[in-house]
Amino acid sequence: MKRRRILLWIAAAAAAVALVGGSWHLACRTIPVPEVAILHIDLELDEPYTNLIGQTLEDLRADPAVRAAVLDVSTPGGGVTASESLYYDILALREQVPVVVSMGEVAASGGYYISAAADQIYAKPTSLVGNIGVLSYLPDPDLVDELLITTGPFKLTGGTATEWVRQMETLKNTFLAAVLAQREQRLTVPVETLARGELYIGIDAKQIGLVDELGSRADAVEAAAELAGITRYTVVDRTPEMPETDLVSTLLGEASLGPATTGAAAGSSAVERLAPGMYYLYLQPGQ
Amino acid sequence: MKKIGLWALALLLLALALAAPWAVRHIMYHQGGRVERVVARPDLSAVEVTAPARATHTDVAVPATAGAILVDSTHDNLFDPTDLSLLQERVAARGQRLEVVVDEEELPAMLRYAKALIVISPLTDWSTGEAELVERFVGRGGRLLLVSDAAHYTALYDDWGWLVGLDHDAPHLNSLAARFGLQFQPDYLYNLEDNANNYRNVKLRDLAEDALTAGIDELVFFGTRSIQSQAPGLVVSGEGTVSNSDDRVESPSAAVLAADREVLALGDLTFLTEPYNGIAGNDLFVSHIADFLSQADRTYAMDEFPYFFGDRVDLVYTADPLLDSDLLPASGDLQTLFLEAGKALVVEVDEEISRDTLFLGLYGEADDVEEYLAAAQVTLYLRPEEGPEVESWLDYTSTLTATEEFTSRIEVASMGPVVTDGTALFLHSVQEERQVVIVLADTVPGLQAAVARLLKGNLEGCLLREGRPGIALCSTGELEEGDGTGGWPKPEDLDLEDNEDGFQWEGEGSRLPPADPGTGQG
Repeated sequence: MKRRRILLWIAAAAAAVALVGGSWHLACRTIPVPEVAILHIDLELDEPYTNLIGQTLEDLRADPAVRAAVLDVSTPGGGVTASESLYYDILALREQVPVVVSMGEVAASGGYYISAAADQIYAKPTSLVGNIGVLSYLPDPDLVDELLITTGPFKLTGGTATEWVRQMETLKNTFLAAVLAQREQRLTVPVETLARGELYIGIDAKQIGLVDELGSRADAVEAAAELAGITRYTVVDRTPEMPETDLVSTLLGEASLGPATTGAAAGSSAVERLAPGMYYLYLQPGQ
Repeated sequence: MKKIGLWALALLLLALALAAPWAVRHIMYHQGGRVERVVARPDLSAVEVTAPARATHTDVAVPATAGAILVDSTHDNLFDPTDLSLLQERVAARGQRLEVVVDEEELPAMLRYAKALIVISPLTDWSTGEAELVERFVGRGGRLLLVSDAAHYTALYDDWGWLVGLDHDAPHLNSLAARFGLQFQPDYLYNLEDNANNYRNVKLRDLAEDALTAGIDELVFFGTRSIQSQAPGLVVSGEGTVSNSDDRVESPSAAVLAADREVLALGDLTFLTEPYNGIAGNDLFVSHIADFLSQADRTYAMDEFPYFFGDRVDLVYTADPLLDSDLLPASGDLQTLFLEAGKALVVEVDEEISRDTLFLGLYGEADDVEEYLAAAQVTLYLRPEEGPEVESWLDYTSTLTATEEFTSRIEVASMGPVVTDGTALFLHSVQEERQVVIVLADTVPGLQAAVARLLKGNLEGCLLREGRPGIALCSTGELEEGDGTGGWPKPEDLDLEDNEDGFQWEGEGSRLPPADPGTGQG
């Protein structure tokens, strides 16, 4: 009888532990440790890359543990649509959690475009910031071929050179509008000054209101946590893994993605390897 | 009862145990939840840019005499032939033809007949000699169009393929432009606020009053360089347009008319091409530029023979109406040259004063051109030939005595004396619209050599007197071949003390030997 009672107590205790454990597990899921997610954006912005980053931003939105995000931006930008796409993805995340950008070596052109979507921008004193504007090649001249037949005069070229230039100007205005929407009150220079496309070092960028503070990524994390109103949190790197690059394509020089480099470290001419299209892209010296 | 109490306690403890994790997590980590926020979106309602309106213009060609306009292609010039299609069409409508200079050796010869020269974005310097040549060309009424373009450059790479710099056209163009007080800046103009869809498509409304800008209110240049000049700008940028290299420069010029309106400098080529000519007043400006090039009022010097002549030229042999057979090849070459220049050279016995004329002859048989020589203040002192004829000559000039020391010579006011032996005299006289060229030598071979010089436009080593009438005294090379002293004798070798000991021939009052009424010979 006594033995049976002991077994009963043991079973009750085990059940209690299991219940408490389960409860703890559920509590952990329901009340997670607040997270400041870090996301590195350090490649030229093309469609596959921004799709990957965009998916990650969506994951952050869906994850209740994420209370703030720090985007570690170090990119000279890239395609106009890719940059714009990320800008709106970041705005969507911002509707859920504060987003702070920590700029690395270069956050220029499209790199600045996406940064402008953040609540706050931190830069290093030597970060290269700005370079607002569009670059593009004009469309090839039209041609008439005996074998290649088109149904319209601009089917091949997409339009006239002058129309292309007009569209570029519209895109430049779009860029400026995107910056003004987030930072109009913080800018200390007229928009025409920004339209010059100048590249500023972090110190100067802060003076004209392109960035908010000078500081490290840790400073940016603290600022993000503060904006989120959290004091106890974990910092989690949520940068997605890049798909493996096809070695053959790399050897053949066809890989479009590559580390963003600056100055003479850059390899072949960026101008030469630009595909037709419009770009929010900073062409680094030597390119 | 006691049992119930125990169960209740157990349930309470269980509830507490179950709630504890939640409480602990809540106390530790719950710091308020996400607060959905409204984030500003860009206002894209005003970003759309409208295309500049296409201007319509019907070209009306101002009549001009037919001629040639040269396009330099000998300095690694950065332009595509299609860039000049529109201008070519416009100058053709004005009776002009574009000729591309592909060999720098040909430039001097081509400038002899050209009305204008176009130089676009050279990537090699103009040599001092070339620049002087063009300067002389402009000085004689030839027009010069200098065109730069900020988009014209080549990339310079090192042996490893790294970009080490850019070679722009401006410094190379300045090697010529500086001759006319012009300097193309290695920059481009831009305007961030008032532009034609791009900051470097600048609207230019400050236009000087000139035939080149007549009827134009606004031009649009595409990546134009600025031009510095002592002369006032023809097309000047307005407020808000600045240079990328120095935004402190006020109202930089994009086009300048210099050298007494003979040199037009343009900072942009693009506006001359389709479709960029269709914006603002660009197309009309292209027409005006075509007029500018076509209406060059060339004055010609002797070495630009025969291009200053009209369509028909009479060839008259002074004194002797019969063509010496030794002169046949030279005359044939002359005729060929005239044909190539689109002119007809017709041999005539007598001068017809209403037509352009080329006289060929010997000093001793030059009575037909006496008036021209006199007007040019040319005096011939000729040693009488020995023999019976001399007697009659001396009869005529009885006060003169031929001496052994006497040397036949030519004296030209402001040029001094030159021996006639081995010397050819070229005289270029312009009387209103009529052009007259006189070529005299002491012998038939000398005359042949003189004609050979004319054919090549070669007056190198000649004594020249610029102005009207123009005079050149050139060696015919006979002395060099003859006595081996080379060229003309030195002045000290001339017997200048015996001026009166020969025939003096200086126009009015000259003591010319009498002309033989039958042959015209003296």
